Amino acid sequence: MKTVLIVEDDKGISLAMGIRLKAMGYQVESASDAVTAISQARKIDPDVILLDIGLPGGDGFVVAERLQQLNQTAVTPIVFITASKQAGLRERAMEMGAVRFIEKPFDATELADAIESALCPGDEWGIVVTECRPD
Amino acid sequence: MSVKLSDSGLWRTLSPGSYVRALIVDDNPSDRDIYRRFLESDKKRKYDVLEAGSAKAAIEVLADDNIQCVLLDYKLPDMSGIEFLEYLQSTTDTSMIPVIVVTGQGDENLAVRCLRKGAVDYVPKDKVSPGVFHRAIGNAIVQADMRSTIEQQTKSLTKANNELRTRNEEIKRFYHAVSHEIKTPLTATREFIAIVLDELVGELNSEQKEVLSHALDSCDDIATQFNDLVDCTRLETGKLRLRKSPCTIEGIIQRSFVAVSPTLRGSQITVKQKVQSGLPEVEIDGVRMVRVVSNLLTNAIQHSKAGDTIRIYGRRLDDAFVIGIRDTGCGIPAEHLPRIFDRLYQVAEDTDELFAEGLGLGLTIAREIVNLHGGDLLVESEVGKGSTFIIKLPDSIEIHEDAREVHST
Repeated sequence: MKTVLIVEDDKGISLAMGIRLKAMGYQVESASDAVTAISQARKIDPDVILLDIGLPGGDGFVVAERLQQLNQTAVTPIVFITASKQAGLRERAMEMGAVRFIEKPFDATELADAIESALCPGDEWGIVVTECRPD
Repeated sequence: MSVKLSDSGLWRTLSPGSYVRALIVDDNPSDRDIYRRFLESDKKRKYDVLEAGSAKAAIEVLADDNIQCVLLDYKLPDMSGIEFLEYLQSTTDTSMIPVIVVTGQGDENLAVRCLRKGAVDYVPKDKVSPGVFHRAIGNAIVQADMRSTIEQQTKSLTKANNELRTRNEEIKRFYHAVSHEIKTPLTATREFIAIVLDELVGELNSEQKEVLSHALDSCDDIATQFNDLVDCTRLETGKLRLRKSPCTIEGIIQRSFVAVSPTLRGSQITVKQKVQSGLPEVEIDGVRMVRVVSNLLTNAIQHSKAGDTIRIYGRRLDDAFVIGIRDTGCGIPAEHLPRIFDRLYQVAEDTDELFAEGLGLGLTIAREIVNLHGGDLLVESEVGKGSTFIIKLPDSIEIHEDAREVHST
Protein backbone atom coordinates (compact mmCIF):
# COMPACT_ATOMS: atom_id res chain seq x y z
CA MET A 1 0.00 0.00 0.00
CA LYS A 2 1.35 3.43 -0.98
CA THR A 3 1.71 6.01 1.76
CA VAL A 4 0.71 9.67 1.45
CA LEU A 5 1.92 12.23 3.96
CA ILE A 6 -0.54 15.12 4.35
CA VAL A 7 1.10 18.30 5.61
CA GLU A 8 -1.73 20.68 6.39
CA ASP A 9 -2.35 22.92 9.38
CA ASP A 10 -6.11 23.10 8.94
CA LYS A 11 -7.57 20.15 10.81
CA GLY A 12 -10.72 20.03 8.68
CA ILE A 13 -8.89 19.89 5.38
CA SER A 14 -6.41 17.36 6.72
CA LEU A 15 -9.20 15.11 8.00
CA ALA A 16 -11.21 15.38 4.79
CA MET A 17 -8.23 14.61 2.58
CA GLY A 18 -7.43 11.69 4.86
CA ILE A 19 -10.89 10.19 4.42
CA ARG A 20 -10.72 10.71 0.67
CA LEU A 21 -7.26 9.21 0.26
CA LYS A 22 -8.02 6.23 2.47
CA ALA A 23 -11.08 5.56 0.34
CA MET A 24 -8.80 5.61 -2.70
CA GLY A 25 -6.69 2.94 -1.11
CA TYR A 26 -3.75 4.87 0.28
CA GLN A 27 -2.22 4.72 3.70
CA VAL A 28 -2.39 8.21 5.18
CA GLU A 29 -0.13 9.97 7.66
CA SER A 30 -0.35 13.62 8.61
CA ALA A 31 1.58 16.53 10.03
CA SER A 32 0.33 20.02 10.81
CA ASP A 33 3.49 22.11 11.00
CA ALA A 34 6.85 22.42 9.24
CA VAL A 35 8.99 20.70 11.86
CA THR A 36 6.69 17.70 12.31
CA ALA A 37 6.40 17.43 8.54
CA ILE A 38 10.13 16.93 8.17
CA SER A 39 10.46 14.45 11.04
CA GLN A 40 7.40 12.50 9.85
CA ALA A 41 8.73 12.36 6.31
CA ARG A 42 12.03 10.91 7.54
CA LYS A 43 10.32 8.41 9.77
CA ILE A 44 7.67 7.00 7.44
CA ASP A 45 9.33 7.62 4.07
CA PRO A 46 6.08 8.39 2.21
CA ASP A 47 5.52 7.76 -1.49
CA VAL A 48 3.95 11.20 -1.98
CA ILE A 49 3.82 14.35 0.12
CA LEU A 50 0.82 16.70 -0.04
CA LEU A 51 2.27 19.96 1.15
CA ASP A 52 0.33 23.06 2.15
CA ILE A 53 2.25 26.29 1.50
CA GLY A 54 1.00 28.31 4.46
CA LEU A 55 2.27 26.44 7.51
CA PRO A 56 3.23 27.39 11.03
CA GLY A 57 6.95 27.17 11.73
CA GLY A 58 8.13 27.71 8.14
CA ASP A 59 6.22 27.69 4.84
CA GLY A 60 5.84 24.73 2.47
CA PHE A 61 8.76 25.93 0.36
CA VAL A 62 11.09 25.77 3.35
CA VAL A 63 9.86 22.24 4.11
CA ALA A 64 10.33 21.16 0.49
CA GLU A 65 13.82 22.61 0.36
CA ARG A 66 14.81 20.81 3.53
CA LEU A 67 13.31 17.51 2.33
CA GLN A 68 15.20 17.77 -0.93
CA GLN A 69 18.45 18.16 1.00
CA LEU A 70 17.91 14.96 2.95
CA ASN A 71 19.03 11.74 1.23
CA GLN A 72 15.99 9.79 2.27
CA THR A 73 13.41 12.26 0.99
CA ALA A 74 15.39 13.96 -1.78
CA VAL A 75 13.29 12.51 -4.60
CA THR A 76 9.95 12.02 -2.85
CA PRO A 77 7.32 13.60 -5.13
CA ILE A 78 5.66 16.72 -3.70
CA VAL A 79 2.21 18.10 -4.51
CA PHE A 80 1.80 21.68 -3.30
CA ILE A 81 -1.58 22.90 -2.07
CA THR A 82 -2.55 26.46 -1.28
CA ALA A 83 -5.48 28.79 -0.67
CA SER A 84 -3.34 31.80 -1.46
CA LYS A 85 -3.77 33.75 -4.68
CA GLN A 86 -0.43 35.46 -4.28
CA ALA A 87 1.27 35.89 -7.64
CA GLY A 88 4.17 33.62 -8.54
CA LEU A 89 3.44 30.78 -6.12
CA ARG A 90 2.72 28.24 -8.84
CA GLU A 91 5.89 29.18 -10.72
CA ARG A 92 7.96 28.89 -7.57
CA ALA A 93 6.46 25.51 -6.72
CA MET A 94 7.13 24.17 -10.20
CA GLU A 95 10.69 25.49 -10.12
CA MET A 96 11.23 23.50 -6.95
CA GLY A 97 10.27 20.38 -8.83
CA ALA A 98 6.72 19.97 -7.57
CA VAL A 99 4.65 17.36 -9.37
CA ARG A 100 1.50 19.44 -9.18
CA PHE A 101 0.23 22.69 -7.73
CA ILE A 102 -3.35 22.57 -6.46
CA GLU A 103 -5.45 25.55 -5.47
CA LYS A 104 -7.98 25.33 -2.67
CA PRO A 105 -10.78 24.52 -2.88
CA PHE A 106 -9.94 21.53 -5.07
CA ASP A 107 -12.10 18.60 -6.03
CA ALA A 108 -11.46 14.92 -5.57
CA THR A 109 -10.55 14.34 -9.21
CA GLU A 110 -7.85 16.98 -9.06
CA LEU A 111 -6.41 15.44 -5.93
CA ALA A 112 -6.55 11.91 -7.31
CA ASP A 113 -4.92 13.00 -10.58
CA ALA A 114 -2.14 14.76 -8.76
CA ILE A 115 -1.32 11.79 -6.57
CA GLU A 116 -1.48 9.35 -9.43
CA SER A 117 0.83 11.41 -11.58
CA ALA A 118 3.17 11.72 -8.61
CA LEU A 119 3.23 7.94 -8.23
CA CYS A 120 3.38 7.21 -11.96
CA PRO A 121 5.71 9.82 -13.42
CA GLY A 122 5.69 7.94 -16.75
CA ASP A 123 2.08 8.97 -17.38
CA GLU A 124 3.12 12.57 -17.87
CA TRP A 125 5.29 11.46 -20.77
CA GLY A 126 2.78 9.02 -22.23
CA ILE A 127 4.84 6.05 -21.04
CA VAL A 128 2.83 3.10 -19.82
CA VAL A 129 4.05 2.09 -16.42
CA THR A 130 2.36 -0.84 -14.79
CA GLU A 131 2.51 -1.81 -11.15
CA CYS A 132 2.41 1.72 -9.87
CA ARG A 133 -1.27 1.99 -8.99
CA PRO A 134 -2.16 1.96 -5.31
CA ASP A 135 -1.93 -1.62 -4.14
CA MET B 1 3.58 98.33 11.38
CA SER B 2 3.33 94.66 10.80
CA VAL B 3 3.61 92.12 8.08
CA LYS B 4 1.03 89.42 8.13
CA LEU B 5 1.95 85.82 7.82
CA SER B 6 -1.00 83.89 6.46
CA ASP B 7 -2.28 80.78 8.22
CA SER B 8 -0.61 78.42 5.81
CA GLY B 9 2.74 80.03 6.51
CA LEU B 10 2.89 81.60 3.07
CA TRP B 11 3.69 85.16 2.34
CA ARG B 12 0.70 86.52 0.58
CA THR B 13 1.08 89.17 -2.03
CA LEU B 14 0.91 92.34 -0.06
CA SER B 15 -2.04 94.58 -0.47
CA PRO B 16 -1.35 98.30 -1.05
CA GLY B 17 -0.64 100.06 2.18
CA SER B 18 1.05 97.17 3.95
CA TYR B 19 4.78 97.04 4.52
CA VAL B 20 7.51 95.08 2.83
CA ARG B 21 10.15 94.10 5.32
CA ALA B 22 13.44 94.40 3.45
CA LEU B 23 17.02 93.87 4.56
CA ILE B 24 19.90 95.74 2.96
CA VAL B 25 23.22 93.96 3.34
CA ASP B 26 26.16 96.20 2.44
CA ASP B 27 29.35 97.10 4.26
CA ASN B 28 29.29 100.64 2.88
CA PRO B 29 27.04 102.84 5.09
CA SER B 30 26.54 105.47 2.42
CA ASP B 31 25.42 102.83 -0.13
CA ARG B 32 22.99 101.47 2.47
CA ASP B 33 21.65 104.95 2.97
CA ILE B 34 21.14 105.48 -0.78
CA TYR B 35 19.39 102.12 -1.20
CA ARG B 36 17.14 102.87 1.77
CA ARG B 37 16.10 106.20 0.30
CA PHE B 38 15.46 104.53 -3.05
CA LEU B 39 13.15 102.03 -1.42
CA GLU B 40 11.35 104.63 0.63
CA SER B 41 10.60 106.63 -2.53
CA ASP B 42 8.38 103.78 -3.81
CA LYS B 43 4.83 105.06 -4.24
CA LYS B 44 3.26 101.61 -4.57
CA ARG B 45 4.77 99.96 -1.52
CA LYS B 46 5.86 100.97 1.90
CA TYR B 47 9.05 99.50 3.29
CA ASP B 48 10.24 98.58 6.68
CA VAL B 49 13.97 98.63 6.01
CA LEU B 50 16.56 96.90 8.13
CA GLU B 51 20.30 97.18 7.56
CA ALA B 52 23.29 94.92 8.09
CA GLY B 53 26.92 95.84 7.52
CA SER B 54 28.24 92.30 7.29
CA ALA B 55 27.11 88.79 6.40
CA LYS B 56 27.27 87.81 10.06
CA ALA B 57 25.01 90.68 11.10
CA ALA B 58 22.65 89.86 8.22
CA ILE B 59 22.36 86.22 9.30
CA GLU B 60 21.45 87.33 12.82
CA VAL B 61 18.71 89.63 11.51
CA LEU B 62 17.38 86.90 9.20
CA ALA B 63 17.16 84.45 12.07
CA ASP B 64 14.89 86.71 14.09
CA ASP B 65 12.91 88.85 11.72
CA ASN B 66 10.39 87.97 9.10
CA ILE B 67 12.40 89.41 6.24
CA GLN B 68 10.58 89.27 2.92
CA CYS B 69 13.33 90.47 0.66
CA VAL B 70 17.11 90.92 0.77
CA LEU B 71 19.18 93.42 -1.19
CA LEU B 72 22.67 91.96 -1.13
CA ASP B 73 25.90 93.67 -2.07
CA TYR B 74 28.08 91.02 -3.59
CA LYS B 75 31.26 92.23 -1.90
CA LEU B 76 31.07 91.71 1.81
CA PRO B 77 34.04 91.77 4.19
CA ASP B 78 33.35 88.42 5.86
CA MET B 79 31.72 86.30 3.13
CA SER B 80 31.29 86.35 -0.64
CA GLY B 81 27.80 86.78 -2.08
CA ILE B 82 27.89 83.18 -3.33
CA GLU B 83 28.71 81.86 0.15
CA PHE B 84 25.96 83.98 1.63
CA LEU B 85 23.43 82.63 -0.87
CA GLU B 86 24.57 79.06 -0.18
CA TYR B 87 24.05 79.65 3.49
CA LEU B 88 20.51 80.96 2.96
CA GLN B 89 19.62 78.03 0.71
CA SER B 90 20.89 75.48 3.22
CA THR B 91 18.73 76.83 6.02
CA THR B 92 15.03 75.93 5.93
CA ASP B 93 13.82 79.22 7.41
CA THR B 94 15.68 81.38 4.93
CA SER B 95 15.69 79.26 1.77
CA MET B 96 12.49 80.88 0.51
CA ILE B 97 13.53 84.52 1.05
CA PRO B 98 14.10 86.23 -2.30
CA VAL B 99 17.54 87.81 -2.65
CA ILE B 100 18.45 90.52 -5.16
CA VAL B 101 22.21 90.83 -5.66
CA VAL B 102 23.90 94.12 -6.45
CA THR B 103 26.93 93.13 -8.53
CA GLY B 104 29.98 95.03 -9.69
CA GLN B 105 30.08 96.65 -13.08
CA GLY B 106 30.02 94.39 -16.12
CA ASP B 107 30.32 91.13 -14.20
CA GLU B 108 27.65 89.09 -15.97
CA ASN B 109 29.24 85.73 -15.16
CA LEU B 110 29.08 86.44 -11.48
CA ALA B 111 25.45 87.48 -11.82
CA VAL B 112 24.66 84.15 -13.52
CA ARG B 113 26.40 82.24 -10.74
CA CYS B 114 24.35 84.10 -8.16
CA LEU B 115 21.13 83.23 -9.97
CA ARG B 116 22.20 79.57 -10.00
CA LYS B 117 22.75 79.75 -6.26
CA GLY B 118 19.19 80.90 -5.71
CA ALA B 119 19.23 84.69 -6.16
CA VAL B 120 16.01 85.83 -7.83
CA ASP B 121 17.51 88.80 -9.62
CA TYR B 122 20.59 90.98 -9.90
CA VAL B 123 21.21 94.68 -10.44
CA PRO B 124 24.59 95.89 -11.72
CA LYS B 125 25.86 98.66 -9.49
CA ASP B 126 25.88 101.19 -12.32
CA LYS B 127 22.22 100.47 -13.12
CA VAL B 128 20.97 101.03 -9.60
CA SER B 129 18.03 103.45 -9.51
CA PRO B 130 14.80 103.72 -7.51
CA GLY B 131 12.71 102.36 -10.40
CA VAL B 132 15.00 99.36 -10.95
CA PHE B 133 14.83 98.48 -7.26
CA HIS B 134 11.05 98.87 -7.09
CA ARG B 135 10.53 96.60 -10.06
CA ALA B 136 13.05 94.03 -8.88
CA ILE B 137 11.56 93.85 -5.41
CA GLY B 138 7.98 93.76 -6.69
CA ASN B 139 8.81 90.85 -9.00
CA ALA B 140 10.80 89.08 -6.32
CA ILE B 141 7.94 89.17 -3.85
CA VAL B 142 5.37 87.92 -6.33
CA GLN B 143 7.74 85.17 -7.45
CA ALA B 144 8.54 84.10 -3.91
CA ASP B 145 4.87 83.97 -3.15
CA MET B 146 4.13 81.74 -6.13
CA ARG B 147 7.13 79.54 -5.44
CA SER B 148 6.11 79.00 -1.89
CA THR B 149 2.51 78.25 -2.89
CA ILE B 150 3.66 75.72 -5.46
CA GLU B 151 6.03 74.10 -3.01
CA GLN B 152 3.33 73.77 -0.41
CA GLN B 153 0.92 72.30 -2.93
CA THR B 154 3.49 69.88 -4.25
CA LYS B 155 4.24 68.80 -0.72
CA SER B 156 0.61 68.20 0.17
CA LEU B 157 -0.04 66.41 -3.14
CA THR B 158 2.95 64.16 -2.63
CA LYS B 159 1.76 63.42 0.87
CA ALA B 160 -1.80 62.66 -0.27
CA ASN B 161 -0.47 60.50 -3.08
CA ASN B 162 1.69 58.46 -0.74
CA GLU B 163 -1.19 58.01 1.65
CA LEU B 164 -3.39 56.75 -1.17
CA ARG B 165 -0.72 54.35 -2.35
CA THR B 166 -0.31 52.95 1.15
CA ARG B 167 -4.06 52.65 1.53
CA ASN B 168 -4.36 50.81 -1.76
CA GLU B 169 -1.67 48.34 -0.74
CA GLU B 170 -3.42 47.78 2.57
CA ILE B 171 -6.71 47.07 0.82
CA LYS B 172 -5.04 44.60 -1.53
CA ARG B 173 -3.38 42.79 1.35
CA PHE B 174 -6.68 42.75 3.18
CA TYR B 175 -8.45 41.17 0.20
CA HIS B 176 -5.79 38.51 -0.06
CA ALA B 177 -5.92 37.76 3.64
CA VAL B 178 -9.71 37.57 3.76
CA SER B 179 -9.78 35.38 0.68
CA HIS B 180 -7.20 33.01 2.15
CA GLU B 181 -8.86 32.84 5.55
CA ILE B 182 -12.26 32.03 4.09
CA LYS B 183 -11.07 29.55 1.54
CA THR B 184 -9.36 27.34 4.08
CA PRO B 185 -12.49 26.30 6.01
CA LEU B 186 -14.39 26.37 2.74
CA THR B 187 -12.04 23.77 1.30
CA ALA B 188 -12.71 21.51 4.25
CA THR B 189 -16.48 22.06 4.02
CA ARG B 190 -16.52 21.37 0.32
CA GLU B 191 -14.47 18.22 0.71
CA PHE B 192 -16.65 16.88 3.55
CA ILE B 193 -19.72 17.42 1.41
CA ALA B 194 -17.99 15.73 -1.52
CA ILE B 195 -17.06 12.76 0.67
CA VAL B 196 -20.69 12.24 1.66
CA LEU B 197 -21.86 12.85 -1.90
CA ASP B 198 -19.37 10.31 -3.26
CA GLU B 199 -20.80 7.81 -0.74
CA LEU B 200 -17.46 7.21 0.94
CA VAL B 201 -19.23 7.17 4.30
CA GLY B 202 -22.50 5.48 3.39
CA GLU B 203 -25.07 5.23 0.63
CA LEU B 204 -27.37 8.07 -0.35
CA ASN B 205 -30.70 8.20 -2.13
CA SER B 206 -31.02 10.33 -5.27
CA GLU B 207 -32.76 13.18 -3.47
CA GLN B 208 -29.97 13.42 -0.90
CA LYS B 209 -27.44 13.40 -3.69
CA GLU B 210 -29.18 16.24 -5.45
CA VAL B 211 -29.35 18.36 -2.32
CA LEU B 212 -25.67 17.80 -1.59
CA SER B 213 -24.68 18.61 -5.12
CA HIS B 214 -26.36 22.00 -4.66
CA ALA B 215 -24.32 22.47 -1.49
CA LEU B 216 -21.20 21.67 -3.46
CA ASP B 217 -22.15 24.21 -6.14
CA SER B 218 -22.66 26.83 -3.45
CA CYS B 219 -19.18 26.13 -2.08
CA ASP B 220 -17.80 26.67 -5.55
CA ASP B 221 -19.75 29.92 -5.79
CA ILE B 222 -18.18 31.16 -2.57
CA ALA B 223 -14.73 30.28 -3.85
CA THR B 224 -15.45 32.09 -7.10
CA GLN B 225 -16.63 35.16 -5.23
CA PHE B 226 -13.45 35.29 -3.24
CA ASN B 227 -11.35 34.74 -6.29
CA ASP B 228 -13.22 37.72 -7.71
CA LEU B 229 -12.21 39.76 -4.75
CA VAL B 230 -8.59 39.05 -5.51
CA ASP B 231 -9.19 39.38 -9.25
CA CYS B 232 -10.57 42.79 -8.55
CA THR B 233 -7.28 43.94 -7.08
CA ARG B 234 -5.70 42.72 -10.29
CA LEU B 235 -8.05 44.62 -12.59
CA GLU B 236 -5.83 47.65 -12.65
CA THR B 237 -2.81 45.59 -13.63
CA GLY B 238 -4.77 43.75 -16.31
CA LYS B 239 -4.10 40.35 -14.79
CA LEU B 240 -7.65 39.07 -15.06
CA ARG B 241 -7.82 36.46 -17.82
CA LEU B 242 -10.91 35.16 -19.64
CA ARG B 243 -11.66 31.51 -20.36
CA LYS B 244 -13.68 31.63 -23.55
CA SER B 245 -15.78 28.88 -25.02
CA PRO B 246 -18.78 28.68 -27.38
CA CYS B 247 -22.04 29.83 -25.71
CA THR B 248 -25.38 31.25 -26.72
CA ILE B 249 -26.90 34.49 -25.47
CA GLU B 250 -30.04 32.54 -24.64
CA GLY B 251 -28.00 30.03 -22.62
CA ILE B 252 -26.29 32.81 -20.69
CA ILE B 253 -29.63 34.42 -19.82
CA GLN B 254 -31.13 31.05 -18.92
CA ARG B 255 -28.24 30.11 -16.63
CA SER B 256 -28.30 33.53 -14.97
CA PHE B 257 -32.00 33.15 -14.33
CA VAL B 258 -31.40 29.75 -12.72
CA ALA B 259 -28.64 31.27 -10.59
CA VAL B 260 -30.92 33.96 -9.14
CA SER B 261 -34.05 31.83 -8.84
CA PRO B 262 -33.45 31.07 -5.13
CA THR B 263 -33.44 34.85 -4.47
CA LEU B 264 -36.58 35.21 -6.51
CA ARG B 265 -38.52 32.46 -4.77
CA GLY B 266 -41.41 33.84 -2.70
CA SER B 267 -40.62 37.45 -3.64
CA GLN B 268 -43.62 37.89 -5.97
CA ILE B 269 -41.29 39.57 -8.42
CA THR B 270 -41.65 38.45 -12.01
CA VAL B 271 -38.74 38.11 -14.37
CA LYS B 272 -39.69 38.16 -18.04
CA GLN B 273 -37.19 36.96 -20.59
CA LYS B 274 -37.20 37.75 -24.26
CA VAL B 275 -34.45 36.52 -26.53
CA GLN B 276 -34.38 37.22 -30.25
CA SER B 277 -34.58 33.96 -32.16
CA GLY B 278 -31.81 32.76 -34.43
CA LEU B 279 -28.94 34.41 -32.57
CA PRO B 280 -25.65 32.69 -33.45
CA GLU B 281 -23.23 31.00 -31.08
CA VAL B 282 -20.69 33.33 -29.57
CA GLU B 283 -17.27 32.86 -28.07
CA ILE B 284 -17.21 34.30 -24.56
CA ASP B 285 -16.25 33.41 -21.00
CA GLY B 286 -19.61 31.83 -20.18
CA VAL B 287 -19.02 31.36 -16.45
CA ARG B 288 -18.03 34.98 -15.98
CA MET B 289 -20.74 36.35 -18.27
CA VAL B 290 -23.36 34.41 -16.31
CA ARG B 291 -21.94 36.03 -13.19
CA VAL B 292 -22.26 39.49 -14.76
CA VAL B 293 -25.87 38.92 -15.78
CA SER B 294 -26.87 37.27 -12.52
CA ASN B 295 -25.17 40.05 -10.58
CA LEU B 296 -27.22 42.63 -12.51
CA LEU B 297 -30.35 40.52 -12.02
CA THR B 298 -29.68 40.27 -8.30
CA ASN B 299 -29.31 44.05 -8.10
CA ALA B 300 -32.57 44.44 -10.00
CA ILE B 301 -34.34 42.02 -7.63
CA GLN B 302 -33.01 43.88 -4.60
CA HIS B 303 -34.45 47.13 -5.90
CA SER B 304 -37.83 45.69 -6.81
CA LYS B 305 -40.83 45.05 -4.60
CA ALA B 306 -43.61 42.48 -4.68
CA GLY B 307 -45.62 42.73 -7.87
CA ASP B 308 -42.81 44.36 -9.87
CA THR B 309 -41.57 42.95 -13.16
CA ILE B 310 -37.96 42.74 -14.24
CA ARG B 311 -37.36 42.41 -17.96
CA ILE B 312 -34.31 40.76 -19.39
CA TYR B 313 -33.75 40.69 -23.10
CA GLY B 314 -31.14 39.50 -25.54
CA ARG B 315 -30.88 40.69 -29.10
CA ARG B 316 -28.66 41.80 -31.91
CA LEU B 317 -28.51 45.56 -32.33
CA ASP B 318 -26.50 46.92 -35.28
CA ASP B 319 -22.98 45.56 -34.84
CA ALA B 320 -23.45 44.40 -31.27
CA PHE B 321 -25.12 41.74 -29.15
CA VAL B 322 -27.05 43.30 -26.33
CA ILE B 323 -28.31 41.89 -23.05
CA GLY B 324 -30.48 44.30 -21.12
CA ILE B 325 -31.84 44.09 -17.58
CA ARG B 326 -34.59 46.55 -16.76
CA ASP B 327 -36.14 47.06 -13.35
CA THR B 328 -38.87 49.39 -12.12
CA GLY B 329 -37.15 50.06 -8.81
CA CYS B 330 -36.08 53.28 -7.14
CA GLY B 331 -33.55 54.26 -9.80
CA ILE B 332 -30.13 55.79 -9.29
CA PRO B 333 -29.75 59.55 -8.74
CA ALA B 334 -27.93 61.20 -11.66
CA GLU B 335 -25.08 62.41 -9.48
CA HIS B 336 -24.24 58.82 -8.50
CA LEU B 337 -24.37 57.37 -12.01
CA PRO B 338 -20.82 58.17 -13.04
CA ARG B 339 -19.45 56.46 -9.96
CA ILE B 340 -21.52 53.29 -9.56
CA PHE B 341 -18.89 51.22 -11.38
CA ASP B 342 -16.15 52.40 -9.04
CA ARG B 343 -14.68 49.87 -6.72
CA LEU B 344 -16.35 49.67 -3.30
CA TYR B 345 -18.66 52.52 -4.22
CA GLN B 346 -22.15 52.07 -2.91
CA VAL B 347 -24.96 54.50 -3.18
CA ALA B 348 -26.47 55.11 0.21
CA GLU B 349 -29.25 57.56 0.62
CA ASP B 350 -30.27 58.06 4.21
CA THR B 351 -31.19 54.63 5.43
CA ASP B 352 -32.45 53.42 2.09
CA GLU B 353 -29.37 51.84 0.61
CA LEU B 354 -29.53 51.06 -3.04
CA PHE B 355 -26.61 48.66 -2.97
CA ALA B 356 -26.95 47.44 0.56
CA GLU B 357 -25.70 43.94 -0.03
CA GLY B 358 -22.27 42.74 -0.93
CA LEU B 359 -18.93 44.43 -1.03
CA GLY B 360 -19.70 46.82 -3.84
CA LEU B 361 -17.38 44.93 -6.13
CA GLY B 362 -20.12 43.48 -8.29
CA LEU B 363 -20.49 46.29 -10.78
CA THR B 364 -16.76 46.95 -10.97
CA ILE B 365 -16.05 43.35 -11.86
CA ALA B 366 -19.09 43.15 -14.13
CA ARG B 367 -17.93 46.09 -16.19
CA GLU B 368 -14.36 44.82 -16.26
CA ILE B 369 -15.48 41.42 -17.54
CA VAL B 370 -17.62 43.03 -20.24
CA ASN B 371 -14.72 45.32 -21.17
CA LEU B 372 -12.36 42.38 -21.44
CA HIS B 373 -14.74 40.96 -24.03
CA GLY B 374 -14.34 44.19 -25.98
CA GLY B 375 -17.78 45.33 -24.90
CA ASP B 376 -19.31 47.92 -22.65
CA LEU B 377 -21.63 47.94 -19.65
CA LEU B 378 -24.01 50.87 -19.76
CA VAL B 379 -26.69 52.14 -17.44
CA GLU B 380 -29.76 54.29 -17.90
CA SER B 381 -31.66 55.30 -14.83
CA GLU B 382 -34.33 57.61 -13.61
CA VAL B 383 -35.15 58.14 -9.96
CA GLY B 384 -38.53 56.62 -9.15
CA LYS B 385 -38.85 54.86 -12.50
CA GLY B 386 -36.06 52.30 -12.45
CA SER B 387 -32.79 51.37 -14.06
CA THR B 388 -31.69 49.53 -17.18
CA PHE B 389 -28.27 47.93 -17.33
CA ILE B 390 -27.13 47.10 -20.84
CA ILE B 391 -24.35 44.67 -21.70
CA LYS B 392 -23.11 45.49 -25.16
CA LEU B 393 -20.83 42.91 -26.77
CA PRO B 394 -19.19 43.42 -30.17
CA ASP B 395 -20.41 41.11 -32.96
CA SER B 396 -16.82 39.94 -33.43
CA ILE B 397 -17.56 37.36 -30.71
CA GLU B 398 -19.85 35.56 -33.15
CA ILE B 399 -18.72 32.10 -34.19
CA HIS B 400 -19.26 31.77 -37.92
CA GLU B 401 -20.52 28.44 -39.20
CA ASP B 402 -17.91 28.17 -41.98
CA ALA B 403 -15.11 28.94 -39.51
CA ARG B 404 -16.45 26.20 -37.26
CA GLU B 405 -16.36 23.65 -40.07
CA VAL B 406 -12.78 24.53 -40.91
CA HIS B 407 -11.98 24.31 -37.25
CA SER B 408 -13.55 20.89 -36.78
CA THR B 409 -11.92 19.22 -39.79
